Amino acid sequence: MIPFARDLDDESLVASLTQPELSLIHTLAAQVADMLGDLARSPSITDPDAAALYEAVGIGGSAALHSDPAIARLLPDAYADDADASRDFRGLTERSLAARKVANARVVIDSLDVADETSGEVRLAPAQVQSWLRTLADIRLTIAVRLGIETDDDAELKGYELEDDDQTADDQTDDDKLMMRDVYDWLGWVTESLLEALE
Amino acid sequence: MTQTIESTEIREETVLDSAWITLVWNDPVNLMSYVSYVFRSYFGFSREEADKRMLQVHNDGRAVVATGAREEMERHVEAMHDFGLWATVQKADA
Repeated sequence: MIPFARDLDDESLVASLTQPELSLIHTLAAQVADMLGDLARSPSITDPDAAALYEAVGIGGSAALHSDPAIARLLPDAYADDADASRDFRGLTERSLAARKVANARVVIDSLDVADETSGEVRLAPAQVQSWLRTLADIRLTIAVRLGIETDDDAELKGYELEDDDQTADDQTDDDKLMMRDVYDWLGWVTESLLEALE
Repeated sequence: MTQTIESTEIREETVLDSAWITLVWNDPVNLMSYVSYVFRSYFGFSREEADKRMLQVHNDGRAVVATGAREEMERHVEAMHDFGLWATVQKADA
């Protein structure tokens, strides 16, 4: 990857990614969009007007923190010590928050599809940069939950050094974790590259 | 006399009701440079102010990034969740 740099002609940020890099981010962004897809959609309401209203207003979220810890991290409680207020807030905002995250992931996927046709040149307008920053954060948060990165000390460790809850873990699992850890660190580098180019 | 005291109490309650805060909590995932960028781009903090609050999050586990009416704090929290930062609302004196 050639890191992001500002194109002085049109204020866009431009980088060059290899084919495997393009498809890696593509896959991970699609996984985030899939994971949040159900939560972003309007509930099964038969009246099309009512369904459109739900969609527009974004109400109708879950009653509590999601049981999948990755989704719970992306759609967290808004009150640390008030379950009722958290539930009310979730009811009003969760659907639209999930929908914005899915939309950001789709912006990333679309820009990767364009890059795929232009020899790996990723060219991002300012609004697309915002979607990239948010989606990269969502992807890294999701990987961190799967890898068990929970503290600043964990973040310093390598993948295979992380506490493993799975007692049946074998070498293959360790290899997967090590690879995901490399991906996680690389995505952080991509974010840094975007931030530096924005300066 | 009594009426005056009552009206004063009501005014004080109104002031307390509007005193809510937005807290951003530390997490091991988001880069320090990203958190500082979010504080600058969303709250309009100077680089110095953004870095100060980012380091407060990193070192103390959390930092207050905004104070005001509850609805406004909830909007900030939703925006932080958009960025992937972990933020919560609470009463200023809680």
